[in-house]
Amino acid sequence: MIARLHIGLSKLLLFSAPFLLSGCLYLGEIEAIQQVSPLEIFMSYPEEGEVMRLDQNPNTNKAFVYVYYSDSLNNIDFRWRIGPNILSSEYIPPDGVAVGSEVNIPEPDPSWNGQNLFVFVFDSGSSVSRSWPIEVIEGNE
Amino acid sequence: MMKALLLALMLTACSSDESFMGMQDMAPEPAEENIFPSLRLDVYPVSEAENLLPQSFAIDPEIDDVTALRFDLADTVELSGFIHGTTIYPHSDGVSVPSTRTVIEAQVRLSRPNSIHGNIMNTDEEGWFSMFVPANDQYLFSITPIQPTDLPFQINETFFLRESQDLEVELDMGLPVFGSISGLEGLHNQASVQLIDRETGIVGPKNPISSSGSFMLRAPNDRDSLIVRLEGTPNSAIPTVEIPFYLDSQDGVELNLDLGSITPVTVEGNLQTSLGIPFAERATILFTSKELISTTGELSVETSNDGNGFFSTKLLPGSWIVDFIPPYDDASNAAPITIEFEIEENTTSYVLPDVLLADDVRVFTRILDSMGQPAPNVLVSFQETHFNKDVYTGFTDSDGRLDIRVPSDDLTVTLTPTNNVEGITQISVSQLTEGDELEWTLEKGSTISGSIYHRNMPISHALIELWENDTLLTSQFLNEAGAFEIKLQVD
Repeated sequence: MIARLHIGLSKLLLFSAPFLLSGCLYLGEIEAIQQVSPLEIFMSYPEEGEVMRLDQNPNTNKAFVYVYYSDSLNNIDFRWRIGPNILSSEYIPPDGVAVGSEVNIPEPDPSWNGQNLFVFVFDSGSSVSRSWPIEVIEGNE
Repeated sequence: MMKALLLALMLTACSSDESFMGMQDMAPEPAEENIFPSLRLDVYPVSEAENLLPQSFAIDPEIDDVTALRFDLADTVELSGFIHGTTIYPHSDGVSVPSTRTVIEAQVRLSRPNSIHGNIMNTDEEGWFSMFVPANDQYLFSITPIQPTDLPFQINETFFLRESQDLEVELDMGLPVFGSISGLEGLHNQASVQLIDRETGIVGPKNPISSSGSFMLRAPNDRDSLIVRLEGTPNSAIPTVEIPFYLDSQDGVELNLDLGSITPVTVEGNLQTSLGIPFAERATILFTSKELISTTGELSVETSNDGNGFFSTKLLPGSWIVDFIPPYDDASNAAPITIEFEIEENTTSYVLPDVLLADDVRVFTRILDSMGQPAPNVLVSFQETHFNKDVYTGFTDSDGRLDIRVPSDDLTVTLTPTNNVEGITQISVSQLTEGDELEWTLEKGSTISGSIYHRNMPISHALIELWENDTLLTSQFLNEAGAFEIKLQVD
């Protein structure tokens, strides 16, 4: 589904629109539609195609995804999963361009090695996802 | 309870000067003598072209002007090399066999304290490694052997890495740390010992304990403050014991430990929902000893329930605290609980009374701006301070309200406005009950601003995180010009 942002025109503008059009007279109602692309990932960390490395440094076991911001702020939902496990995540507030979500995994489960980290982003019926294969670096702790 | 430090942060990159000044006119003048806490800015660049890596920057609390700060990302450099060593097989009676030079499979780590700089990598079986890190002249570089294990770890606390380097590392044989552990009868093959450097926390390889209870470790020559840690395999019921010691003799040191009596007790129970229905999902069940009877040390055991809510594990006599943590799922009402119990001596089995999980609670929040008006689109995050530190979030509606289900636990609430006018506030709450109404007013404060560069080019749209010690204050993205502007309020 393509999300569309409808920009309403004032009655005055609708009335005057035919006269603003150069060269021809158009008497139909004008509906200006600014098409917003389908939900699209602007950037992610790790980047697409890279591996999600989980090691014993809790500060760096992090992934985030950043999608273009649309006007439907309350409908944007991020779901992070590893296998059947849903991960607790945090929003990164919108900055006018995009909105994001990050997940921190301070204590990776060694059994996750070889599985995939998924993020699913939902917004008003659209969805997009990204996944990364997981590499767990085990140590001596 | 309001935290001593209330932080109001605001990205003003999208706000006009006019609206900014308007807000300043209406607000009380920021205190000129604010003392900023010690802050750390973490930057996660996403740049395919530059291949830059995450880096940390300290913001000095002593500087007067924290506006127009500049942070320069370091180039990415490669550290690679081979690790060799000479294994020695000494016995506790001092007799040794001829040494053998061999390749060492090891874990290689570069790190910096209070920083995300660094990398951790295991070598291949030939001892070769290659890792990429940001250039820096103050790394902690450590090598911990994986195989063979009769070699010491190595630590360099002032490792200079401005350019790519290829190393040939030769681990020395170190000094012997040996001794005997009694009380492990029949359990020797389920226990291991390892050394820990007290100053850095770097750990050495895990070594086995012989059937007679003796062990042998190799300590680095240049580290004198160490710990020997005894640990059991999961579900072995062997307590973890740490023995600090100083290594001040070139002959090494002998350490002996009497564990007393280790008599595992089978502990069983059933985990249920608050309605008394067996909990079919898999919860994390974490037992932690408060005090052990008839033995020393500490024991922490993690297990989970089966599809019928049943769980079983082995513990030791003593007093215990146990967390039951259902999986994170905001569609479920189950919330974590903690209980305490005691196992007496001379017990072989112990059955816990049925354990009922808590329910989360619905709370009604209302957020007001600094003018006392409803604040819409405020991101409200409730984070557990205990258990898995899970986060429950939502945005306020046009009336500044958010209804949300959260655990009835100790929580840190972070209010993050998205309207470029108000700032972030952090609050601690606890013991929330169903239907609680919570109203908070946002605060404003002083400005921290700056830009992130690499080779004099701004870094656009990187993720930045602002930390005060272990507390994440905010996550934001840099704007197109690589700039940020943040407001902090210090009470």
